[in-house]
Amino acid sequence: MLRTRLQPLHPIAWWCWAGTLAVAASRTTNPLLLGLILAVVAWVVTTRRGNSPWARSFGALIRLGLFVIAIRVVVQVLFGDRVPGTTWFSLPSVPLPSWAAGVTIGGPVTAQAAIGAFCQGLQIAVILACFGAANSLASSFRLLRCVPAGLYEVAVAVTVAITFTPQIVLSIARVRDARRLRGRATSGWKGWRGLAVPVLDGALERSVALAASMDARGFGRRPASPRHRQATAAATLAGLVGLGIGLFQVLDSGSASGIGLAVILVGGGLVIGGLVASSHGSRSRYRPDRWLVAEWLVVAAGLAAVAGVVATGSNDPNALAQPLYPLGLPASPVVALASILLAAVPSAIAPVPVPVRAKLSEALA
Amino acid sequence: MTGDRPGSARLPRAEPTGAVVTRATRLFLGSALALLVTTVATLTATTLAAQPAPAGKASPAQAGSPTCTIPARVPKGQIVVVVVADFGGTNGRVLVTCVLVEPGVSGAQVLQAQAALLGYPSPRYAESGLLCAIDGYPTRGCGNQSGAHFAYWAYWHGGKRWQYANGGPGEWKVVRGDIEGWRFEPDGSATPADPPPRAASSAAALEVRAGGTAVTTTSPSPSSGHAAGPVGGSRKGTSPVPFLASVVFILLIGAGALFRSRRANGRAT
Repeated sequence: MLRTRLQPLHPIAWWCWAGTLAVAASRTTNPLLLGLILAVVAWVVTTRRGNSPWARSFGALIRLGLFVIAIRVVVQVLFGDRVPGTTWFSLPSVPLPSWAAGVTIGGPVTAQAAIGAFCQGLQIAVILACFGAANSLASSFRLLRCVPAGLYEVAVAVTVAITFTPQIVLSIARVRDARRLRGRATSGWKGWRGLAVPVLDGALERSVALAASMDARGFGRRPASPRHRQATAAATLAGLVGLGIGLFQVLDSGSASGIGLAVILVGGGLVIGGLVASSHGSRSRYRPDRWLVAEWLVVAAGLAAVAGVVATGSNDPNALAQPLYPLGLPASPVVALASILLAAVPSAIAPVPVPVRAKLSEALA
Repeated sequence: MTGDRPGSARLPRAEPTGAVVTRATRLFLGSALALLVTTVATLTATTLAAQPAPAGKASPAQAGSPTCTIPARVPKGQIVVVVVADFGGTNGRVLVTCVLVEPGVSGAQVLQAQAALLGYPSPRYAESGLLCAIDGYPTRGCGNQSGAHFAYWAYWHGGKRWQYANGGPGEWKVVRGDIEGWRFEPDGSATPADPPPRAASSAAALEVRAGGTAVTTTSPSPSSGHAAGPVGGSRKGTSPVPFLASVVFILLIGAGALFRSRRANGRAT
């Protein structure tokens, strides 16, 4: 089956790609690997995002990531654990009573503490950037069309969860335009203060309104019998909880991943069973997104990055961490670096998005 | 934290300082706290277990008690801190070292000085700042968890009796006459109920004597215990070339992305 010119890449493929890169980032604090993941994600986003309003999500989440890094380092320096190591400087410290053990105010600031905090902040920032990339590359409205009918019980939550970030980005643009027209500040502290409440309020409201309108159009129509509905809902819910616990077990490198995998399999089975059972009868779809070769390749590129990082980790765990004791340059593990580079393949094979205006005129013609 | 310190004339009382637990220790202490709060029975049991433990363990330590000797003349501006390192196990080795350091340095720096003095590898820490290894033991792992138990180095402060440290060695500032106790717990609960180091807790009982010519250590059974020896060769230096190459490469990709994004923005407006 061939791809038509108007058909963008399947949104789930983009989410899988970004999700696998986020998993790879969550396994390492090596700033080289994190930096390469960030660079690859940025490259793919700039080459394959359209000119849709939500394409700006990536930039917004990059800024959020910088904020996270700053907060992480500042909190570590002011209140963090007094990590031993090479002292850079000492802040005046306030002695706290013994019941407040675990909290400090001031004290010696070591290179190890600051660099470790920076790397941990960078890790979170890169994960946020992956999330932003998915929001930039995939249309949240197309993604919503892929949500199975079995998730009806949580349809509002799913809609809000999926569309909230792009709605925030749209909301920021709208509110800034409105403030500019009224001659109020749009940048700096004053601008942000006036921005926060209307943006959050507006984005949530629009997401809920979208959920309501989808509900009105029969997004999750009810299956025939209430008992059947309850059974499938219970199976789906139990499966989702299992998936959550299993994912936590697998992603947390300290836990036994064997149990986690088993829980993921059972949970995934329950979810799929529940969804299949609930979606008897079929909905018709207008111009459905198809899963073609390019989708497989994009997902494979993301999986390659995770495989490379995990393989490096099982081979030489030190290569994935910023060396702190003694302080040194991070390792450059070739396998992990090359596999993360493979994740840039979507910038060549994913279909180029058609600019919104061109698409409109083409559709009208 | 408010641990008893030796109060002899030679070793004056120290000032308690605010201490901070490393993140992992905090985790351990947090779980211990939850246990204590939920069951009063656990609370009493823990207290009961903690109280007689030092007295019970003290008697074997008194018998062949390891000691260390301090030099006759301590250089000006330096103090003697006794480091007791108990490598755990049933017949494990106990190292007592008199270390010369400047007053006010952290417990972590005292450990570093002890390792340097004995020619052992420097203490190893996890990213969180949790102490993983003293004198190269254990060679792998850090606070490994098995069930509700952890294989970790417990930190104690000496005095009339051993006092479980509230904070990490990075926070503790040593003063003259401090006794720093460490015991490896292969299967510890990460609470003050864990057994203290198997050596006397006060400087007097450790028989810290002036008059020796050098700082020495003794241990009851040097052959048993940990296998780590003095450091052989120097650490292999890593070449900065692959690091720099990677950095340049990443910056190139990032600059390319930035350039494309700028160009796209310019076209859009």
